[in-house]
Amino acid sequence: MNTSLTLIVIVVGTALFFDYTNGFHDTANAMATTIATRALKPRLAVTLAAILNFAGAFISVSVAATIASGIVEQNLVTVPIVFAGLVGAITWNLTTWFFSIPSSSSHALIGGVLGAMIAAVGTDAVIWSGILAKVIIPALLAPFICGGAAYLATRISYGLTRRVPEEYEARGFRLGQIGSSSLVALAHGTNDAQKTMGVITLTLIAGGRLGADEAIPFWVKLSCAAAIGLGTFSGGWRVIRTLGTRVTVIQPPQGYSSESSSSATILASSYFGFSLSTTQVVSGGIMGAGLGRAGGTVHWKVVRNMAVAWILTLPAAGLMGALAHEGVAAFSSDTVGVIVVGIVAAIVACVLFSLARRTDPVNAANVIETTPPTAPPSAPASAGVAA
Amino acid sequence: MIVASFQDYVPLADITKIIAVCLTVAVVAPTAAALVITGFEAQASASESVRSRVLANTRIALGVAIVVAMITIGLYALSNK
Repeated sequence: MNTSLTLIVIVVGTALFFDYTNGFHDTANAMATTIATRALKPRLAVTLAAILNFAGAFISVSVAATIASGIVEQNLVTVPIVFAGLVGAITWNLTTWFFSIPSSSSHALIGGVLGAMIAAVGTDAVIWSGILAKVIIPALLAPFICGGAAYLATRISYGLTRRVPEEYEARGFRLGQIGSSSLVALAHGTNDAQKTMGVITLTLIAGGRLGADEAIPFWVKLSCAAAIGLGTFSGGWRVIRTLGTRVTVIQPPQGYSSESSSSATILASSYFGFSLSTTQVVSGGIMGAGLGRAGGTVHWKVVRNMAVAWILTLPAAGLMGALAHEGVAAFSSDTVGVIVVGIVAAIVACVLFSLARRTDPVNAANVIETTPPTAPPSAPASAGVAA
Repeated sequence: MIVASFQDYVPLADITKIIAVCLTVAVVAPTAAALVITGFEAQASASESVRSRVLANTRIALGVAIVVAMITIGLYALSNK
């Protein structure tokens, strides 16, 4: 049965908007420490990240075939379920962005689809062992693997350059940071743009507009690359501020160590087919680098808030996905339901954007002004979650 | 028993490899950066002697070569996953 073109267009548009939020929510993953150490100016850093995210989307499409593969029964996924899952993911992404909390966009998408799936079909459609293996255990491992590597790299960085004048040390590590953070941005584009490609491809297949064996259309690749690139370019300044200045005070050797460890963890895990959240990897790296410097501190209240958000991501996005599905199901026509829920979601998004602008506007000019990188804040805990 | 159950969900062999890669990078990346940095410093403070300049340039070249090699391996991993 062919789903109406209107419904497919709306779902594809929603998927691209999710890709956009994914981009700006995760700009911090690659560029927070680069901006914090002033290796690159904020606007230049996000421009570089945007270009690399765009380019990264074309490198590989090997995992773009499915959405939440091995987590839900794929044959039961319908276009309204995909839509509801996307709405759940977008809403959670915007909520955590509003509160300046780095959280996993991938987990938000999985949570949204899970919630919509449970609301539509029931818990039988969920592969619980897949959730444990693909979401929960990686989420527990990622920060520790990268954090340990970053701690070691930071100790070595400071140890090997302790007799070098600070001017040379800072300049050298800042240059290195540009390379390591570029690799993270490229990897992010490759991994995360593919997820949206998968969502759109699945929608086209489920809607009878694309054969199951057909290749991903070029316009899908291009639009996903453009959406994540644009999202990255708009700069998720709030999350950049949290990761770059509020978890710990980052110096160039720490930024380089953190980014090197993050890129190694992300690329090695991708190569071995083990999916880790980029956000959790990078956050772990920053914490490890914070602890690796003699006298370095990590602001545990900020970390605690991040950990709570990580734990809440799956159920919260799931709840929003389930509510979105119930909203769609309340109408006799899927198309009408999707339009109404889409309008409600758009209003929520506009309210969050508007509130963010009014209450605590963060931009390229003030992203690192609040906490000078040379001195730890006297009351860092209070700055944990900016609203 | 616990290990066997854990292995049902997580490929421990792959995780071991990932940890090994991360630890290797954690040692090699700062070492490469330190080579370049100390090379720049040596270059700036080098006397007129050819030997000290060559030594400083060699350090920089070696450090840059290691960084370039790491980025190339990273790009390979990205495109061949």
